[in-house]
Order: sequence, then structure tokens, then C-alpha cells
Amino acid sequence: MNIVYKIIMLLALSQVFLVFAHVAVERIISKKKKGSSSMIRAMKCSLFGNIPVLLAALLLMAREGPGMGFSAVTLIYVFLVYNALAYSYCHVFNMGDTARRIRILHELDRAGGCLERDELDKRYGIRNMLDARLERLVSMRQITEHGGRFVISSSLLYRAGLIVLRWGFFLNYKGPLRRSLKDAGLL
Amino acid sequence: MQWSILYYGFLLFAAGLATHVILWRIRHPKRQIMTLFVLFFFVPMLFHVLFRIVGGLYGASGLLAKSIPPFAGGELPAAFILCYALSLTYIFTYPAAQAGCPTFVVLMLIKAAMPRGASKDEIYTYCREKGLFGLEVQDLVDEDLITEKNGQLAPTQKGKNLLGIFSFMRKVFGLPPGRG
Repeated sequence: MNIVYKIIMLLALSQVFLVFAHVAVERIISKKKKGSSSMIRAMKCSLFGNIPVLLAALLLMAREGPGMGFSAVTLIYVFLVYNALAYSYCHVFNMGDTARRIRILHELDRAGGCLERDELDKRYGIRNMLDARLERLVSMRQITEHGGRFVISSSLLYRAGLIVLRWGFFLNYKGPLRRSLKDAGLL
Repeated sequence: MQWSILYYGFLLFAAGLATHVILWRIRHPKRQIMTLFVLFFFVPMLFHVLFRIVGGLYGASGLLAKSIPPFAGGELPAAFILCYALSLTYIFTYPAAQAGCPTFVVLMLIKAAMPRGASKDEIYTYCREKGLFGLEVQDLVDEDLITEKNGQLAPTQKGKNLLGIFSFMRKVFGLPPGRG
């Protein structure tokens, strides 16, 4: 089989292994470290996955013989595709925890499949939503709480957020959210 | 593998991205995620066909034909896989840009209040006063995930299936239902 096809197979298998490894880590660690961020664990699993995947790619290249030898392009290719897919996987995993839509569907399910709008607002209103986000940001060490006030402790997610929100503005999303952020000089 | 796999993969992705930006700046489609999937799947294919036709018209010595040398076995699919992997990362990031991810907004508000920082109540009051993050009920109705009849909200079969997938995933990981 051509080396390119072998690399493609490796990348497909890497995602299967990532899921299995992540399930194992989550089941072992989440019980020991309650309150720690499951999103951070998913990201760490994805990042550590680079090591076996790149080693496997090197092994495949070495087995091709001296003529094929080491190829920087192949390693860069494997690195890019693996991380792009792992990033997408982290997003799918994260949706189960953070997506407002899933939570609304869950609340309807918990209520026996039917709820009034006001009742839904009581069960999952803005306050619940903001509380969940503040707790997650603290557990991800992006913010810290001092005397009831939250301060930024890492600017990584803030910078990423700024780029994403500006990109939305560029794509012509100028609803009340962006208008108010722009008016407040935040965007 | 040759270097052209990398830059051709990025070029195919750029073709999809450019088409998306142009379309979105004219008008936002209704079913955006589905449109993005279709767009990022077919535009690179179309681009590739056009690229080959135009490259062929200018002959083998033309700039286009020279810039992308003929791919060996499996290299063209490899370039497409790179393009689709990049497209997936974009599509999964897109909802945060579209709807304004609340986590990012919370970070913006805290950053604006630095060095004092912001309290829970200040963040809550700001979001309430500005009317940010109301329930996404209408979006769910538009996407056929829930129905609203006589003020009663109920999940559709599609909504139940979606919840089923995520509930199953959380159980496999040994995690409680997400907090939203």
C-alpha cells in the first residue's frame, strides 16, 4: 500500500483511539478530581495524542525504506490533520456540556416532554446560564474569584473570544449583542 | 508526500471560506450549519475542476499548471482530507461567531471591568438590561427541534434524537447531563 494511504489510515485510526483514550481518562480522573474541567481533560487528551500519532507516522516512513526516508511534509500534514480533527472532536464533546439547546431539550425531557415558556425560563434562565459559565471559567483557570469579584487570570480564551466575536461582526452579525459590546467599546 | 499537498489543501479550504464570506456578507441563509457543510464540501471540488480546466487551457507550461504539479497516488485525496479537516474546525467554531458565545461575552465584560473585576450581579444585570442571551426557543423552533403550541413547548422527534445522542455520549464518559 502507498505511504499516503497508510498515513490516511493512521489519521482515521487516531481519532478512534483518541475517543477510547478520552473515555478511559474521563472515567478514571473525573471520579478522583471532582470539580475539575472535563473540557481541559478533553484538550489534554487531544494534545498528548500528538505524540503517538507522530511517532507512528515516523515508524511508517522508516518502514518504507531508505529511499522514502524522513519527510517533514508528511509530519506537518499529520500534525495539521490530526489536530484539526481532534479540535472538532473536542467541540462535539463540549457541546454535550455547554450547548444551551441541549440543556433546553434536557429540561423539556425532564419535565415529561412538555413545558410552558415561563416555566422553562425559571428552570434555565439567564442566571443559571451565567452561573454555569462562571464556574467553568474558574475551573479552566481563565478567571479567578476574589471577594465576590471575578478577574481575568489568563488572557488566552479572552483573546480567542475577541477574534471569534470580531469575525462574527465581519460576517454581518450586528444584532443587539454585538451592538452593545461595540457601544461599550469591548469589540 | 510533496509540499503541494499542503498548499493545495489550504487553497481548497480558502476557496470554500471565500465563498462563505461573500455569501454571508450579502445575506445570511436560514439553515446556516447545513449550508456551511454543503458549501465547504462542494466548493473545493468545483474549484479543483475549474483549476484543472483553466490550467489545461494555458498549457503545461502555464503558471497554474506549474504551481500544482500532478499528484501521485493518494496525494489528491490527501489534499482534500486536509481541506475538509480545516473546514470542520471552521464549522465547529462558527456558531460562537454567529450567536455570540456567552462565555466569550462574560470574559469581555470581566476584562472591561479590570483591574477591579466584575461581580456576578453586575454581569447578570448587564446581560438582563441589554437583553442578551434570551432563551433560544425560536431558534430551536426554526430548526425543528421543538414545537410551540398554545404556549406549550415540546421536543420534536429530531430534538429527541439529538438529545438521545448527547445523553448517550455523556453516559459513556460517566458524566452527568450538561449544564448548558
